[in-house]
Parts: sequence; C-alpha cells; structure tokens
Amino acid sequence: MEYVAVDGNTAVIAVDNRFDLVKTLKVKKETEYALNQQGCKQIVIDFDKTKFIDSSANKLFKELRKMVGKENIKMTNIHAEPIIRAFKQAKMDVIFGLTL
Amino acid sequence: MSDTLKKERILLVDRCPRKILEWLKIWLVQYDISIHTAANGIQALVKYNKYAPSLVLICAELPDMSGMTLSSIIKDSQTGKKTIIYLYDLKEIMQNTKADFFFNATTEEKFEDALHAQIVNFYNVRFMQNNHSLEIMRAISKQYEKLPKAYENQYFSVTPVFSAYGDLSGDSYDYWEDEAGNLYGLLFDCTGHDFLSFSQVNSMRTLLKRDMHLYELSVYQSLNEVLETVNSDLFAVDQDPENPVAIVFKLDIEHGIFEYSTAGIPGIIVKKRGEEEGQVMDAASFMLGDLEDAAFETFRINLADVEEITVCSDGLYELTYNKNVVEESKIAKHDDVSAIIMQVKDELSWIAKLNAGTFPGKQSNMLGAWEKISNPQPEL
Repeated sequence: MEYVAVDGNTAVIAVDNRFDLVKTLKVKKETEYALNQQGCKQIVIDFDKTKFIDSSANKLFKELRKMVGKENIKMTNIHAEPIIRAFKQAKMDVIFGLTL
Repeated sequence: MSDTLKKERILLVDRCPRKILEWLKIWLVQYDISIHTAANGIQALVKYNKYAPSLVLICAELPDMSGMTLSSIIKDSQTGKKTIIYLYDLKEIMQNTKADFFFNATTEEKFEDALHAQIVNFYNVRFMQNNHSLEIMRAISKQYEKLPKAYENQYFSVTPVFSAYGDLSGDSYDYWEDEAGNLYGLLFDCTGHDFLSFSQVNSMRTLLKRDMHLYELSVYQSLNEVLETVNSDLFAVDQDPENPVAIVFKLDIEHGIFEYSTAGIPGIIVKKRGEEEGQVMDAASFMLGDLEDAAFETFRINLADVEEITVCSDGLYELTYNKNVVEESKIAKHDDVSAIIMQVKDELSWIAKLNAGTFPGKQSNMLGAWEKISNPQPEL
C-alpha cells in the first residue's frame, strides 16, 4: 500500500506533500483495507511529511474517527502552517483535542 | 444465464500485471468483483470469451500483438460494444484503434491517479445502477424537481449551479422570496454522492427549510440559531450523526445587507464592484454533527459596492481557489458542485449606501463593511 503501513494492530497513515482529494480517496481505501482485511484497530495519522490538506482530507479524518472510535485515532507531527490553519478553520483542533 | 456470466468481472491484460492488480484489489475491496489477468493478446481473447468481463484494461505494449489491436478485436466482436475498454501506456495511436478510454504513457503516479478516478467512478455508478436502477432513476428525477430555478427582480438576480459528481448529488440548495422581496436561502453538502446521500439530502432539506421558515417568522432571532437547532435535531435522531456542512442566508432588501451563518462550508465569495476577483470570507466553524452543543456565528455584510455574492459547496470552492492543486491532481472535477450566485443590482447597492451611516458593522480590509453579529464560544 502506498500511504498506509500496518504496524501491529495500527494503521499508520503518512502522506507526503499534499494530502488532497485524490490522495484522500486512496487513503480511505487503503485504511479500510487495513481495518477490514488486516486486523487493524487503531489509526495514527503522521503529518511529518505533509505540507497541505484540503477539505476532503478533513472529512476523511472525521470518517476515520467514526470507524475506530475517538480513543483509537491519533494525529502526530502537525507542524506545517497550512495544516494548522485548515485544522483551525474546521475546528478540528477542538474535535480531536489537539493543541495547535 | 450461468453464474459465470452474471458475476462482475475485470480482465487485466498486461505482461506484468502485479502493480495494477494490487491497486484494483484495494480500490474495489467493497465490491464483489473477480479480477482475471492475461499476459498476452491470445490469452486475453480466450479469457474474454470465457468470463465476459464488463471492463477490460489493456496495456498497449503486449508481447504477441499490440494492445490497440487486441482492443479493436474485442470492440468489434458481438459483445464488444457492451464491454468498456481502458487502453493504457499509449505512446502513439494506431489508426482504427477502438477503446473507450485512452491513457498516454506517463509516470506511474500520474497513471495511478487517473486510473483510480476512472475505475472508482465507473463501479460506483455501475453498482448503484445495477442494484437500484428504478429507484435511482426516480431519485435522479426528484433531485432536480426540488431545485429552484434562476430568477431576478429589480434588486438582484439569482443563478443556481448544480452539477452532481455521478448521477446523484450529496449537495442541494433552496431559496425563496418573502412578500417584501427579501431572499432566504440554504445550501448544504452531505457525505458522499449515492443513494444513501440522496436520503440524507432530503432529511437535511426538510430540517433546514423548516427552521429557516421559523426564522422568517421571527421564531428564531438569528441565523446561527437556525443551524444550532438543526445540529441539535441531528443528535436527537442519531447519537453519532453524519457531518453535513451547510450555510443559511438572508439577502435583506430593506436594509441592503446580506446575513449568513455557516457550518463547515468555506464557500462565501464576495466580489466588489470594479474588482476582477472575489474574496473568500474566512470563518472557522464546526460542521453539523460535530458536537451536540456546538455554537455557530452569524455574519453581516453591507451590500454597498458589492456586485456579487457566491455561496457554494467545497466542490466549487476548491476547484476555483485551489486551482493549482486540481491541476496537479489531473482530475477535472472531483466532487458534487453546487452554488447560488447572487448579483446585486445598482438599486440595492444604493439602498445599502443610504443605510451605511446606520450600519453598525466594523470596518474590515476585505469589504466596505463586515461584521460578526454573534460571537458565542463553543461549549465542549
């Protein structure tokens, strides 16, 4: 899989550069595959190499949160300014309990 | 008809099919589709006749014959016209090549993006139509029946835009005038664009329209109250509701102002007279269904010097304001697109100018006058 790696029971999502509409569709498919076919129960979204996200990505994060439950999804390495801005605009920081 | 022929099948013809096979398995995991492979043209013809696939993916470079030749042979066969063929890795096109989709030789990443967009859309539509053809046709017809038409009066014109991603859209909108000529409206975007979305669209329209009529009757004092009520109703029905995004608005003729409240939609674009491009009104807000007691805000714009206001779903917003991202993605349109474009005539602009002295809004860099008229803090 291109964007999702399986580590134990965790699906680790890492998208480089732009997390945009096309990648969102692929990430969703790959994550569903990891959850349904490979036994993953938790999700980690690593933004270390991500520089941009659009609204489709924000919607995906909420969908994934519903799939595994709010206790089982974590976001890490959020440091790119466009991502922080997009998160704040959609109040994702409040929903995911992030300090940005 | 035997079971062999009824089952949905793909035939992938490529001397090295492993990579594309892996993509297809991931993309189509939710569908019951068998994927067969053939390494050359002759093997492909045998398997095509045996399995009658609805979709055939053919690499242009095959060991025994050109992929274009194979594609044309299949297309000219008795069942060929019902078979969709994607030809890829094309460096040139031979005369009389027959296929439905052509992909030039390109980088693996670009090809994957383009193929993914085509395949997913193909099967979403196909499965939806196969499973619910009559219901779908009715739903498509109904979705258009519900939409208001373009119109104009002496103060403004309204032009709607509605373009579903597939046959059904997760977006919708509505607007109407009251007796005084004020325009009330709503636009929203539900998750997805399928039969399930159609049902959500109808529920959302009912909720939003009911509460907007109550606002029109002054039962609710503000537009944010409308969204807060709808949000609360969503949680009353389902503890874990979907996340539709919505905007409600009023174009107030008497005072020359535009008021709006948003839940997750970024698309309010305001264009001033004499300017070439509109400016996006930036506002942070929750989506509906995020938090049960989420608070929303109402904003007010004085219409003096405003020429056009566009209210749109993110489908249009991102196609226009993230143009470079769209161009990189190589997908022309990725989502439902819906918008209400309101063009303000001089007469309304003058009313707004006359009222500007009494307009209580703060001065802003973006517009002549712009004001947030409610500022509640979300309760967590």
